[in-house]
Amino acid sequence: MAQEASSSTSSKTISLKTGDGEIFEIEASAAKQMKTVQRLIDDLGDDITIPLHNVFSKELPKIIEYYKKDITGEITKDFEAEFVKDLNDDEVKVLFLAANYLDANKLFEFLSQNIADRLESKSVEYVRKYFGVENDFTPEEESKLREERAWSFRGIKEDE
Amino acid sequence: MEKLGDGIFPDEVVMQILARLPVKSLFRSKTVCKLWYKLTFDKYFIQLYNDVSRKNPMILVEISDSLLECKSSLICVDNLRGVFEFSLNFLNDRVKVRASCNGLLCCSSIPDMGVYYVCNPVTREFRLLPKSRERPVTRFYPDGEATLVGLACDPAFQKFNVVLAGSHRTFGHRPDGKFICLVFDSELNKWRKLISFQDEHFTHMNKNQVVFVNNALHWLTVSSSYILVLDLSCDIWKKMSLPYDPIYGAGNRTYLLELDGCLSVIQISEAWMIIWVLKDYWKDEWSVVDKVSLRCIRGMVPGIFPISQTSEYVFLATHKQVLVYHRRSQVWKEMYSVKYSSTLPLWFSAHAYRSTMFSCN
Repeated sequence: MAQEASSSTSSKTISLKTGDGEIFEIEASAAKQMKTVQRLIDDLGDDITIPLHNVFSKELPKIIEYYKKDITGEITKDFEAEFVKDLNDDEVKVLFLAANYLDANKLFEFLSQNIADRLESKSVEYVRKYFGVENDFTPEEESKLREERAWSFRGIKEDE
Repeated sequence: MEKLGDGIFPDEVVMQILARLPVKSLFRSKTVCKLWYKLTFDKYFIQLYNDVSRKNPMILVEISDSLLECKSSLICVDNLRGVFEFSLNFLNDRVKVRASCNGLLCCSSIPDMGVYYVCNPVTREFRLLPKSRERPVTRFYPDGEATLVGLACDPAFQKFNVVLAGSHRTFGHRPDGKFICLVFDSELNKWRKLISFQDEHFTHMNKNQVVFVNNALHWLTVSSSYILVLDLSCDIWKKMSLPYDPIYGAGNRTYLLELDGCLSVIQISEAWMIIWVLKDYWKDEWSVVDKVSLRCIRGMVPGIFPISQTSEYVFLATHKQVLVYHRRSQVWKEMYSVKYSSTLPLWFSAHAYRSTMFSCN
């Protein structure tokens, strides 16, 4: 079997080190899709292990898997559905925030839609917990707002 | 171990998620906290919401039950969420959808001729249009109803125009050759009248498929030899040429749609569907963006009508079905099929639609 003797840029790999100290390899073309990584490569050179303080060993392999598929141009709706099928809402959240940090646009947009789909029929309280926001309305203000848009609350289990 | 998932979502990121929620959920999320309430009024957010929604074409179809003559309901079909029921009950009137533009609908009252509403069916806001003083709304020929109804909705400036046009006749007389056009201005809350002399005829599809781009309304006519244009910036009727010589187009069916903010013409022949786009409006340069083989749906071709599209999908309606064509994967999919026999074909009252937060008040 013939082997490529010289390393061309297309087969060059970049080393990424997660916040919890693990190292992963990705292809340079995949790194290009993650603008934060690309910026670090531009600053630090592509021979150094790129440190990613805010991404951890749980998420990074999943992100790498997505972009591996992207390079071969094979991301279909079925692939995306499979990709998130076994993830719970919190796992998707972590992946999403990592995609945001890495400035990985395609994955970011896909996960934004996925999170929106998951939150679509959840209660307001669930959404607050999910985003870690406090309810700063007074009880009177809140009930007035709900009354004004009562039609949007029909069919939603508010106690979830 | 410090993890990112501890509720540290920058505003920009929150907006990206909210922009992808259906309007009903979005309105509910206004009650999450004060910051989110404010975010949803933010101009940047509204623009973002509209940009996202633009990529998700929908089609609104009226389905009538042949058993109960006065019962008809609306369904909305989109690629993300499938089929769902739509109600205009909040108008408290029996209405017919006449035009759809950038998320607003213009409806006419069935019992009260000459009464028109503009509404946003998702936020349930509506405006009952004032009756024009001169009352020529009911003087259109032949049946008292405007031949053409157009809705020109400009989301950037949050204003809209409604156009009612048709041949005119004074009471008790024959039509006098005048083409009357009434234009409603949402900012002034008034109608203005334009008179011209043209003798145009329109098929049912021509009337349904009015397209608003570049501050002008566009219609095809029966002859399908040009596009009739009403330029709302100067209240002038014009003609635009079609992408191909009408003589060679004979035998093909032609439809006018919008494609990502540009004027688009779809030609359907026995075996092909050709999609044209006018990328540069002022240069009058049309280009073919796709030539789709209709081999897979050969049997349906005579009764198929394109209704709504984006660069990725085309929605079509037949007598009993709504289909979507995925341009990239070249796959046809049936999205909806009528279960019982209906008196009217689905394509008869199908409109392109997309959801918006645009307020009509």
